[in-house]
Amino acid sequence: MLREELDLTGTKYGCGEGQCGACTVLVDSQPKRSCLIKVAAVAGKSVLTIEGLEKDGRLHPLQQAFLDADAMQCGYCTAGMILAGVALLDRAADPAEADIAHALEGNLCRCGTYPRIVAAVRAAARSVRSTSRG
Amino acid sequence: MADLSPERYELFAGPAYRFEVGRRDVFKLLGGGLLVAFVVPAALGQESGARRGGGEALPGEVSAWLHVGEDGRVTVYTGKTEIGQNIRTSLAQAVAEELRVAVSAITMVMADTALTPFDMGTFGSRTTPVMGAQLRKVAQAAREALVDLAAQLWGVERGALVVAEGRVTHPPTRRAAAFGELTRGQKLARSVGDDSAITPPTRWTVAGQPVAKVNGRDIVTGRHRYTSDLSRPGMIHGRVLRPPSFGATLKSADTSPPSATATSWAWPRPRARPRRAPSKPSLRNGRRWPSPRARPCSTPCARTRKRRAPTRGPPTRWVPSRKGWRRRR
Repeated sequence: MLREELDLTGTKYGCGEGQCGACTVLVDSQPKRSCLIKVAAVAGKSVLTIEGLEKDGRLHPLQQAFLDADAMQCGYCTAGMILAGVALLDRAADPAEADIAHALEGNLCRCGTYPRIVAAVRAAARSVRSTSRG
Repeated sequence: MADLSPERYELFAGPAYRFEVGRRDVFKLLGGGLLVAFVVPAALGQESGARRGGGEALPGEVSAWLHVGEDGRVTVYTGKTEIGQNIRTSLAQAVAEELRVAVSAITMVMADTALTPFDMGTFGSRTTPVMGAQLRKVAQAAREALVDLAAQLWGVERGALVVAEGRVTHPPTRRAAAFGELTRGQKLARSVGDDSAITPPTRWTVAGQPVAKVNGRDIVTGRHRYTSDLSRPGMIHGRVLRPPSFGATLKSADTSPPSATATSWAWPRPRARPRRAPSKPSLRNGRRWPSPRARPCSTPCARTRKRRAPTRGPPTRWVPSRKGWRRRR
């Protein structure tokens, strides 16, 4: 539905069985595997894909942090990683490394960029905290 | 179906097609400007240089080309593909260095077979020494061609011209022209071989320096299109068809929907074969697997769900190769 009918190809098709996290979207702010969800199951709910994260030409702090930390190689897992990370930042302002690893453990990166991804989530958390304070 | 070409398996066989696009066709496709093609050395030998120097037809075996448009935009065409090794950025750096332009002024068109020269493969880390050096030579030849254009335009010695930051300047007369001003109205094609010298690594200033991924923003916003995100006009389903034997050619493919009432083009999966219970004890010390469901399986999902057979493509018919590649018995 997302990729073919709506042409929102930023959400990636990886394994098709909920194992890899490349297809992660936020359904009512909760990270969900879109490859396993039927359209009827999200009727009346909000679905946020990677395309909807940028607001008025400004990147979400986590998108910016991914760029700054160069937290991707091929970038195929990036959309899912960012959305899972956004969900984490929504509920935790200052996640520890272990919290980040736990929140993103269902998202696989075959290039192995995990250390930079964790660094990017921490940097984004810092930047969100500083803007909300300032 | 005549326009479908079979996938090539023989890695070391010659290209299935040769790039014999006429110079005019290329400029029709890309627009006017300056075009520099890299000719692989073997082809130079075979063709004894007869086609060198930008004749009406481009040389036979071209491995990359670079186009400076009439608007000054630099576009590099290579059959190498980006698979996370970051060559979209590092090859752009190599070109930027030789052409004296900003990395951001370069567009890389990679492995789009409608536009790029044939390439046998990306081969991971081989791209950097092979294609990197070739693109440097192409970019250097393009720079020289731009210097020639400026020298002609201003009637000055080419030795006094300086190329920097996407412009050619003539310091004695303080004349300057952006690349686009020099290529406007031109349809200049050149080719370059393996024999030209490039900037030695000790004098690199752009390559080897960390720069931001050139298409990073497209990746974090989901705009970048991977192969599986591509769609062609009228495309309903895309897949690679594999012949049953080497060198076989596709005779026909039935791309009509599976049935008159079908709403989808998903060809039915082949029915999974019923699993045979193990006839022999398959565990050490003679234990049997407690139940078929608990047996280890190849995919992580199999224990919780039915094993999925791969989807089937459209029914196809193939003509085997006459020369052979028969299975050894």
